[in-house]
Amino acid sequence: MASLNNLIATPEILNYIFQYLPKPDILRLALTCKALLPASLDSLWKNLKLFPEEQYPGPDRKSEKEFCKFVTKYGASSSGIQYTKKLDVGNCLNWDSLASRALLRLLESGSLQPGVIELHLYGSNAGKQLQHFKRYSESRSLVDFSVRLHATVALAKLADLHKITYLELHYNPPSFGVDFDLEVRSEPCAKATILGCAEVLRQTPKLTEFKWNNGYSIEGDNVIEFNMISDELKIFQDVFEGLERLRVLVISGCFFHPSFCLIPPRSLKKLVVTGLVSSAWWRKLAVCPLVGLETLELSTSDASRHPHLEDFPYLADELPIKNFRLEDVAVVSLKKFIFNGRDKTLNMYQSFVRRNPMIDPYTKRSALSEQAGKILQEGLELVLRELRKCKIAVINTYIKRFKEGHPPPDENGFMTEFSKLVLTNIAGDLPEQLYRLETSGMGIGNQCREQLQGYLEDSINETAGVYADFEEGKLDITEKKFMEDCIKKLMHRVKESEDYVFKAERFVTGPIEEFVVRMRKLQSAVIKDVLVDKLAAGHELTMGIVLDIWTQAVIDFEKHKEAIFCAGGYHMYSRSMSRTGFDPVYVSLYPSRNR
Amino acid sequence: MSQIILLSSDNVEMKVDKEVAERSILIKNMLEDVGETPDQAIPIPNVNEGVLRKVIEWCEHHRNDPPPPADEDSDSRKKSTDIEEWDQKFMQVDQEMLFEIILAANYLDIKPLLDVGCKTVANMIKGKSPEEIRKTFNIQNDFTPEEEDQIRRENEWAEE
Repeated sequence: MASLNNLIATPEILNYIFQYLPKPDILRLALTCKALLPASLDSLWKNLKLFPEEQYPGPDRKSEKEFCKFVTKYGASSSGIQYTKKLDVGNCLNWDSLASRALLRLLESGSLQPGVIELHLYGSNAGKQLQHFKRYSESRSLVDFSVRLHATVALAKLADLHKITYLELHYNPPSFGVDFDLEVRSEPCAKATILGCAEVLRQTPKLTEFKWNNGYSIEGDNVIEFNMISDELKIFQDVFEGLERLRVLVISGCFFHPSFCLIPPRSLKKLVVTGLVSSAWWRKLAVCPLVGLETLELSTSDASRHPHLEDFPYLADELPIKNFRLEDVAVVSLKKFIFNGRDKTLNMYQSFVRRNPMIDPYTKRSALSEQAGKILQEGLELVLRELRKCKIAVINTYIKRFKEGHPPPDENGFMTEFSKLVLTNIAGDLPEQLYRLETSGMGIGNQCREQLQGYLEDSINETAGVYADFEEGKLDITEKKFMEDCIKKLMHRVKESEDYVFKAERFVTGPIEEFVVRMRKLQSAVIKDVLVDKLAAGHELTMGIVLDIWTQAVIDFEKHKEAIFCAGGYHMYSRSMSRTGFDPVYVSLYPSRNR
Repeated sequence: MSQIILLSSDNVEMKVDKEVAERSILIKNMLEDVGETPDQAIPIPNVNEGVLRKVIEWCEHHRNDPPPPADEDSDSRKKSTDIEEWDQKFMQVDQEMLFEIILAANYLDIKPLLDVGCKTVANMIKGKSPEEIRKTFNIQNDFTPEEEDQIRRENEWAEE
């Protein structure tokens, strides 16, 4: 019989439940019984972040007193602190402050012994504080202690490099001044930055994750030309290939020059590429021997769309990314592929799926979505191409109906009829005379002949009735006068008669426009998913089947309104995210024509 | 549609569509290793008939769901505890069965079912005092008042 004890005995399940609980609830659970205490404390303390973030402990970093109180109150005495495996101290070590000294004391006393410490180091005092921290780091064993460091190249050099497993190098944010960083936009400093980074990497044998936001920019007056630093990049490349434990690499900026592609070590499992890329760079990436790569994430933009393209002849020669196929990308071991960029290559997902059998289901679905998108585009083009014929045919139908006195149908009725007509037309079964005859002069003539003959007959009869006394010789009337009177009456009837062609045309124009609007709205919000599901289930999709589903959805439009609204909302969200969240790091190393 | 036979811990055989059974990653991998649909029943030694039927019922209902996204940030604590209406009704079982389902989902590696089960338990804990949690799960309080007080003091920050 299963009880809570069974769950307590299965820590992975308990941890799973804790994921859904806010910290106050975990504390209340810890207070229920001794059996639940260790797992609850572990969950509360294992990842300790000592900088402000919602739901995490610690004071506001502006309030040093509060920070010290926290460290003193909980650090020295709390039984929970023994559960801390990872300590993220943010940038609280950056100042020579009571707070940072209190934290260092706590670490040096040994009451807090995290396996991993994460540091964010910037600013003028950070170097001094790092020296203190280095002493602590050196006192810990390489076996059970490691450091995750966010810093500039210059600061990283001061760290206990052997302990670093994660390194994120930044250019110096302007708000912190430039005391400890190299100015990357001048040639000597760019060289020093690259060599400095190589020197750091040479001494980090435990490094498993490396992220370099090098801050280069294509803008500005002092853009460095690639050929000036090619030797340094080669040195960097040599060191880079020696990082045998590197699993995760996040790169941006200078690695996108067409002449240079950083080749990662073979141990790499995850590659994240951010920035402006060119198709030449793609080609170089494509042949990289990334034999074990499992995750590829691209947050890129097409270099050929850069607004200053004319200044960069190397870019100007580039083909747009969308024209570059990824069929030959060497990697075959991908399990996950994420694309956050704005310009994707043609059939990109399909290429990856074809080459990587272990790839995640989302990429597989995206590949099917590419396929479905193509079918839908063809379908829409086909419908739009044939729409004129269908419009004429439906106008002809309504001319006849209106003449016979039938009232116009409601919108849904029209959509149903029109859908059938579109499908029939595209299937090639619509008789030609239906959309040819009635539009020609002869067609109009045929339509009016019968009507006119009727009007003439009526006019003659009516005129004859008026002149009924003629036979009795009471009236003096000529044939000409009779005919003139007939024509007057005929003209009057024609004036009074309804213009059914005009009426039918006016009636169908609005709903047909609505029909196309509905098709477009349904295209990506509803139909694409339906097609993807069918493709995923192994169905073969002919254009007839696709249009059948699509036009039925046009008829049942009301049912899909919510889905369309949600999809629209999502797309708007995606677009706004791509505007605010995507901040490309531009290429710096293109030789410029005009400089 | 090809079918396979599952054998519960109390030796009851159940015929299931392969596609349904493959919601369990354990069974899916097992079938992939074997390479073809087996004729013999696949033993599920940790799950009894009643629980296995419930698990199959869930898998039947969710047979066409897309696979769950890979979640790297498992300690986010920002996860929603919202549960779909059908799943809520499905989880309206006694506590013993609820825990059995969670254990079975964990054993059979059916992450979305494990999610639903754990969310249900989390919802039973959320917002309750320690005493109310004890009552809900029939837990015996083995702390002295002093011990309880000490735990509160040492973890006071978690209440903020």
